[in-house]
Amino acid sequence: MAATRRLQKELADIRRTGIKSFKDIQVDENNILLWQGLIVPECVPYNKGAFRIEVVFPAEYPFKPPKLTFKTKIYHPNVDEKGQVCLPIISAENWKPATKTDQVIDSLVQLVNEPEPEHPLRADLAEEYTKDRKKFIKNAEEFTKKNSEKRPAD
Amino acid sequence: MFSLLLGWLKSFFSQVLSLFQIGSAKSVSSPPPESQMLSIFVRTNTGEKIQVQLAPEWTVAQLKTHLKPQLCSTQQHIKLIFAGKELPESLVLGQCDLGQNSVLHAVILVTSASAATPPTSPTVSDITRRVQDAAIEEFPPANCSEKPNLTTAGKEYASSETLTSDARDMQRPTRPSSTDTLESFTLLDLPCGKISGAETPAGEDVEAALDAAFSEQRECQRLLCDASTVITIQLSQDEQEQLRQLKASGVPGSGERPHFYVFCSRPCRGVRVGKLRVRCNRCAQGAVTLHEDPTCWKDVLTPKQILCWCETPACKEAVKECYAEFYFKCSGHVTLGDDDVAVPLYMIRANLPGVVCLSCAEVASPVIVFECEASHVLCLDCFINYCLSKLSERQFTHDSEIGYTLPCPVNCFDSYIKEVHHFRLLGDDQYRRYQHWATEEAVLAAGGVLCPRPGCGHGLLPDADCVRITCVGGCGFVFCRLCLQEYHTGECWQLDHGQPLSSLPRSASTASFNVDTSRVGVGARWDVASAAAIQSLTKACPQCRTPTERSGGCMHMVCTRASCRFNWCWVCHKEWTRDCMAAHWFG
Repeated sequence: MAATRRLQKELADIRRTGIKSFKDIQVDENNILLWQGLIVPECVPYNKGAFRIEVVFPAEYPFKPPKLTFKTKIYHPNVDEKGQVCLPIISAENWKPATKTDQVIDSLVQLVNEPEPEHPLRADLAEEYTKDRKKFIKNAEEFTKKNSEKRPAD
Repeated sequence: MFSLLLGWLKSFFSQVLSLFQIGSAKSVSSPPPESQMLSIFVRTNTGEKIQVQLAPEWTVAQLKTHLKPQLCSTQQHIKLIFAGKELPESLVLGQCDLGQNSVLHAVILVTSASAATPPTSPTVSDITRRVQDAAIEEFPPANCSEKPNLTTAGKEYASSETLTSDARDMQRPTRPSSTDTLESFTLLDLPCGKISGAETPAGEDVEAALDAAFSEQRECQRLLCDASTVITIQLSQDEQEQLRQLKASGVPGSGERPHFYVFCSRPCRGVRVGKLRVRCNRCAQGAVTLHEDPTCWKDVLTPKQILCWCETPACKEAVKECYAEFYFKCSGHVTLGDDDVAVPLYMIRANLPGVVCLSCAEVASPVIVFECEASHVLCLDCFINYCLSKLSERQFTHDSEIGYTLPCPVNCFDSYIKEVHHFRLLGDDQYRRYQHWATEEAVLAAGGVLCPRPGCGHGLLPDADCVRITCVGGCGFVFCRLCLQEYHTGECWQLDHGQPLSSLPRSASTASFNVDTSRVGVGARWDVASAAAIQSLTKACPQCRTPTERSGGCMHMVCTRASCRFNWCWVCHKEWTRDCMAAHWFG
């Protein structure tokens, strides 16, 4: 199966070179289409925690994009309460089969570090982020402390 | 007793001798095993067809000597033509891609003695002068230092001799081409080492083939089966240059010989290496010689691009010019005759530069190269997966020119697959499914409807204003065009969340003709539960009425049907606007 072959190759590459800000990658031995890992953002207010995400690849991968979901709750304008995230690089219109998973993760980490309040999934947080940044950072830091996972040692 | 011993000794010695003889016979004369012998047909311009057994290591001259007694008198000469080329004497037959039952064309040349020659015919010296002139114009001095020898089929003509009909024929007016005059005589005059030199049976000679492709762009000095011909047709000048640089920098590539590929629908039922052949477009006979070599796919696939000389008597006498008609044969099986041709899959090529597959990131060969500017590459396995994933979701696009097709996986501009036979790679079952849906989309694009009765799906092209439709030629079901239920009077059943169907907005381009194809064959009235589920879970696209489920995300919907792609608002149930964006983008 094309998806399996491609993912084995990608996984081997990632395990060899590593992705900055994406640690503890776990892949189901019986199902290479399901990955989990920890996002460790660099920027305030998320730099004190780690966020578990799940990457689900469709059987038609790479002709169809993977889906990303946050398993750890995060206070972020672009991630909704269910953990869904709207990432342009993996939208049906923009997806290119040559895009690799490390690029997708990089793009996600960048979005976490720099929220895009113009394209929010949570309008209330977007408004707070734009109008009262201090309050947003304080709330997000508290939320991170309470909900996020421990950052793995380097 | 003595005589008995003598008898015994005699038989012993004769046995030993016979053993010895057998042994020596085996080692001395070693005729090629039967399996290596090629059985081909030779067809003459007088309509004869004879079968010949030959060994691949024979030269053309040897074959001619072999054929002569059967075809003509010793005074006459034979010219052998194969795949648009007159074969030079020293060419080894194994270098042509001859297969079992291939057809060689023999032209018996009428000598000057036996031909009735009109007095106005140009003399040999006239032509020699023309050749010389042309040679001076077209070739650097090094190449024309020697006076060209005017020969036809090995026979040298004296300057005073009047040309025979064959030599005259070579002068027939042709498409203006700078090398025409020369080409008329080059095949035998020029050292044929050049032709054999361009042949590259092994992969390591790709560089040589590249050089040959480069230097012989417009000259007519190679065989159609040469690697350089394949490279010239398959790769653009830029691609050839890139490949040349790649080879120069020591990148090994996939190390194989370039080929044409065809789909053999029978008996091989799959992708096979193809053999390029040519015939006359008037008489469909193969006894033709090309004026110039094809240098791109357009030359090969589009009719009337390249002129040729046809040796068939009817064509020779006709004033009209003959054009070369190229076609392909499958090399995977012994030919089944003249009609046994195969469709060329021109997007498939040997992966000479060793490009990785866009999908699996591995280097495979052959590969599919898309016609987009970026020349995106998929290996054949991934191409099949790509097509299947798109077919399963009915995401092929109906193009009025090409038909039901796909762009490259990156969706580049102008990258549609133009030769839909490439979808034969999907296998018989999936190809049938492809054809079925292609037909349905063509009916819908033409403003038709599909009968909604389960198991029917018959395509119908009723008048634009007709609402009561009878499935004529199909199951005879009478149905309402708007709601696809059994025909009724009055308003349609209100499927779309309380709105009468007739009140829904419809774009001018699709008018009211579009049919909810997902319900065809599933049924609605017959399967009430499904209908109810679809009704409760989905909203219909305001343009084409495809039932759409919103699984998450924002309220901006894009219709999933490839031929619709309407942007609409889940809340307002009409076209998506900036107002929707401001008021309820995320609910």
